[in-house]
Amino acid sequence: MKILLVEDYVVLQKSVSKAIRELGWAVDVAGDGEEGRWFADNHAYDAIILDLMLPKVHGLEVLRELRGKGCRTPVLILTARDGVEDRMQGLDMGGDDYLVKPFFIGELMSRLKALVRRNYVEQDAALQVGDLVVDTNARTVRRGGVSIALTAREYALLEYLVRRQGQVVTRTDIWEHVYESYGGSESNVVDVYVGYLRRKLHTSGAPPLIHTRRGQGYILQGE
Amino acid sequence: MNSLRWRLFAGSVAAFTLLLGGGGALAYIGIKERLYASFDRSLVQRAVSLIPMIKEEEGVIEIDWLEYRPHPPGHQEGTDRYAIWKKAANELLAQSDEAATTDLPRTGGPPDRPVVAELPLPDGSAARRVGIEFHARIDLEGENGEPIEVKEKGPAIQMVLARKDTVQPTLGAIRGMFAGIWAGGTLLSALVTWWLVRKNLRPLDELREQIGRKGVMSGQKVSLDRPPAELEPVVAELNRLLERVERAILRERTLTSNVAHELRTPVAGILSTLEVALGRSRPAEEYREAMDQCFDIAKRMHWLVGNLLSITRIEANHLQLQSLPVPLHERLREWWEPFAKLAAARGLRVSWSLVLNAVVTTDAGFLRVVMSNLYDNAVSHGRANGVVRIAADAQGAITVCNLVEDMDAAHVQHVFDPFWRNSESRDAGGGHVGLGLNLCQKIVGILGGRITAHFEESERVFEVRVELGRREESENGERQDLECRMKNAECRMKNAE
Repeated sequence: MKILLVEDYVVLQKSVSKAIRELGWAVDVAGDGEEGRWFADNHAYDAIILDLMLPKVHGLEVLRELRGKGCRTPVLILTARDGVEDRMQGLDMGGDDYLVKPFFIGELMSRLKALVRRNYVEQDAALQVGDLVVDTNARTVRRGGVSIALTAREYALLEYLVRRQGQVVTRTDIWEHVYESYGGSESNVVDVYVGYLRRKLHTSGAPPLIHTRRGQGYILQGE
Repeated sequence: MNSLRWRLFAGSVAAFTLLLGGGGALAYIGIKERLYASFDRSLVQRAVSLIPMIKEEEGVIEIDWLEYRPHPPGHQEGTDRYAIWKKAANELLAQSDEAATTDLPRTGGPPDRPVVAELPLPDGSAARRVGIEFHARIDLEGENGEPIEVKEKGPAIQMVLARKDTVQPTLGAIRGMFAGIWAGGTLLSALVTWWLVRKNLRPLDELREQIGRKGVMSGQKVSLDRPPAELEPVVAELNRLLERVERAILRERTLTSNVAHELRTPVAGILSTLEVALGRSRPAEEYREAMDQCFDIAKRMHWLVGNLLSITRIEANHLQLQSLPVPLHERLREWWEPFAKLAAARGLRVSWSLVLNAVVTTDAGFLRVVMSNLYDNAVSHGRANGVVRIAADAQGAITVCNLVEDMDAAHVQHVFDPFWRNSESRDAGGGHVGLGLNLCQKIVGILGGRITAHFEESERVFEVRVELGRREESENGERQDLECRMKNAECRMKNAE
């Protein structure tokens, strides 16, 4: 999963992005409205955390423009404005959730996960494909009842594939949703991690879960 | 009982009642006097008319009517009574039957000044009496029966004529009528007054209802339909007052909201930093980094709270100034020291232009707060790797200027507004919330000085100038001031580069 954090207060940028990364998700950080708008226009995110009082372009203006362009990415408004009118305005302009500062990181992460789940039309935190079970809350993976240890990046890749099970996922999709947008190159990093994941998920006698669609990408599906 | 309506009602009714009562009483007294005067005049006329009927003839007093009847003509039985005495002999000459049972005082005056008085009767009723003293006519005839003119006076006669007081019943009827008029008038006046008071005080009720209905923060004005002239200025004043109150409440709400808002963000910073740090086991340096960050935020919050408290104290006039000579060239450098580290970290260079021995007489503690805020702003908002110029001239005017990036000329008029920032964002530390310059303005005002801000858009130099009222100039101040101005210009050129 990949989140865009648009927040001008550096302290919050650091703590929130760190919490998101520790969740195993990727995060891009924008320090003002203009930058946030650029990130949202040019990358795909699973959710956006948006402050309102931003330099250059106000958060609500960013939100209005995003919705105007047809962007349906869930947006969580994170602001110090706690008036009922502020909340109503934020939600009416296309916000999906509203959290007032000060907040607890745990609550922010729970709300973020709920938004992402909703985005993928899922109600349950435990995702299942065949005999593979991914618990997105406990961040554990089991296949055929056997626990599988994954690195944070492998887990993030698996979670994204599981959420899009049955669909062909391009390398670009994976790059957009699993890796942060700063520097680096797509090259074969995605293929390498898909290879790692394949090996770890493989158990004797069980059918493979990740399939390659030549020239298109990957698809994760059970039998 | 204490309402305006009741006071007006009671006052009006009381005034009308008193007026009616007083008028009635005066009218009654006038009528009474006129009636008694008429009654007495009639009694006197009757008594005077009897005088010619009493004469002396050959030494004997003769009373004409006694030859025919016991009473004089026109006598009313049970009403009139009389008695006639020969004064010298104290001899009763004639009296009516009723007079025998009545003590008729033998007082009287001459016919042109008879004595008229009240006479209580034995049955308790009242009568009026008139007493006359006169000389009986001497009646002489000649041999042929012709009357002879007599020069001598006849014997002195006293006559008291009394008549039952018939005015009293009339007066009683008049009193009753007056009392009825008074009572009816009072009742009618009460009803009319009540109606009038209610009708005329309706605008006040309307005013009260409007105030109650609209409240202070409604933003609507009080408006009466055809208000009386007396209420027009009241309504106008009230509307002005409501506007002022509304503005004051709005200002207070905005301030409270801003304070709450500005405290929320750093609190969120502390909470999230600590929560993330404590979320799992980490290397010691990560904990240290989190603690450093929280410490920085706490210092900023301390600064914010300190400024807020200072503003509150200033607004509440809880201040005690200790004015002493402050050597600017020493203190300005000394107060800069806490900011030197951050300035160095941001690559800021300091340019000093301080007139030697420039001294101002002021409160050093408050001046330090002002300077600390100016230094803090310059260090935090000054363009990285630029120059901060700090100058003090011979007149004791202090100038702090620095390069800025995201500012324009229109912002300058707002820099002293509380919680104003040149953009809605906060700085990395989250501590600059737009209170510092507002506080400086208040303090400099108290110190009797003036603080101004200036922005040179072409050079992108922001300058704050503090001019304190009292000053002590050094001997060679003029010359050094000139040098200072030259350095100032030089500094601007450097900044422009």
